[in-house]
Amino acid sequence: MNKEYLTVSQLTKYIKYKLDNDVNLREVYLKGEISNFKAHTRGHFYFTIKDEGSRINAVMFASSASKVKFTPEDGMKILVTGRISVYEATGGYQIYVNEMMEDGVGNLYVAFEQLKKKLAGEGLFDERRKKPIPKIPERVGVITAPTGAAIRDIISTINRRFPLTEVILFPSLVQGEGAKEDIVRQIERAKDYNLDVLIVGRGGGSIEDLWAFNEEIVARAIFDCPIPIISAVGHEIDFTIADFVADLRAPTPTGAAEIAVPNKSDVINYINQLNLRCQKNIKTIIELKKKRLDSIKSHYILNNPLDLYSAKIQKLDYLTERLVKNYKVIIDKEKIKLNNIKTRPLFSNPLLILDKTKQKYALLLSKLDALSPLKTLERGYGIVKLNDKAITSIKDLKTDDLINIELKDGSVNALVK
Amino acid sequence: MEKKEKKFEEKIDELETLVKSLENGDVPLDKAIDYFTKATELASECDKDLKEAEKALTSIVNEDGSLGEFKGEVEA
Repeated sequence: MNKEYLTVSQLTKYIKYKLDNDVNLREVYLKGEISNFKAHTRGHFYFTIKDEGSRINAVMFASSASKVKFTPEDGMKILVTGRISVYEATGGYQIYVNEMMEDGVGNLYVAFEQLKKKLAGEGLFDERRKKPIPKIPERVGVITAPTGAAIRDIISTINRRFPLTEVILFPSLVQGEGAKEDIVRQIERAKDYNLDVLIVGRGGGSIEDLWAFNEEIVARAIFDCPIPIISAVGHEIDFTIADFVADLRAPTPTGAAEIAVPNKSDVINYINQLNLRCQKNIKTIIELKKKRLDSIKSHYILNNPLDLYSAKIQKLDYLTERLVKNYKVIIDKEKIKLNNIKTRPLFSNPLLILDKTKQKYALLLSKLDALSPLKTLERGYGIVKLNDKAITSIKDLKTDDLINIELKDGSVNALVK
Repeated sequence: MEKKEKKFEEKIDELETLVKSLENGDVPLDKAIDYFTKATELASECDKDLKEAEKALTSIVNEDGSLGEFKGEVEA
């Protein structure tokens, strides 16, 4: 016989391993009745959960047990979530409980948790998808009951804080039959009224009263609404699906109104601040410009404008002086020249020049007369011309040339032989 | 529904922009005075708007979509 025998521990470990790796057993929603309840001094709960046919041991550690909102006792109907595993020491499987609530309202909690998980998985609660709430809304829409405390609180809060904002009420059922459909319908309608922000909510009540705000269609309508939505359901402690999906959760309707509109006095303060800044700045700007102007005004040349042309005045003076001086010199020179000319003998006796000229003329005339060929002819010489040109050599003449001979008292023609 | 000509928030935004422009420093004087005048006007306008408003205008949307006066009992 070669069969391997397991130890009890080995077997228990194996069974534990099997259970721990079963996905279905990792998150179990279980309902039943408490029995053998024991609260350990260190805060852990040990008990049994049973129904008519079966029972299971349960343990809830202090970290989870401290969050239970009621005091568990035997016989109480409860709803728990937890995982199944094996306690190796006893070899017993048991449920390790994370959450425990009383049954009755319990069904609603389960639905709430399931829807919350589903919508979270779809990203409906993503911070990135949340629209910003405007600081100063012109018009606020309110989806709530027209008769409840919620609308009264909202209007009186807005009147007190910022009465410039207009309030538009979309009257809606907020609990009971038809409430969820009505809320959805009003969210749809609100889109057409130019709203800057929308408050969706109601006053406090039981979980059943608030239930419409945990409905999936309401959650989706809020998510799809293009207007930023502030949820305001019940009291501070009440959380609904609408709160998770809204762009902002307000703890109460009054709180929603406080978030939606600013405080008048804060805004007035802010305006005063802006006004002060404005005055300070214009003062600074004017001072700066004035300083600049002063610095320009104090510039040397603006204070000594004569300097701009004093040099030129000097030059002008110098030139004028020189002109006057030179002018006199030139005039004096010319005067001397004129005087010199005036004092010449010719000017004092102009006939002198005429006599001289006459003498010169007579002399020239006698010289000219002595040179004249006519004088030579007088002395018996003649001029032989051929074709009106004087001939001085016989080489210039041929036989039969007709020549002209000029003598003292006339001329004759002759033929050369 | 028509809205008012200039929203209060738009006025505040414009006022903020004007003050920031002035704070920018290097503004020609005539422009700076322009900004300043406008800003002062806006500030007193906003201030007046706020001080004059006493009660929020409150209406209720009727079944047919029209707006009616909301007569809920509300303390001022």
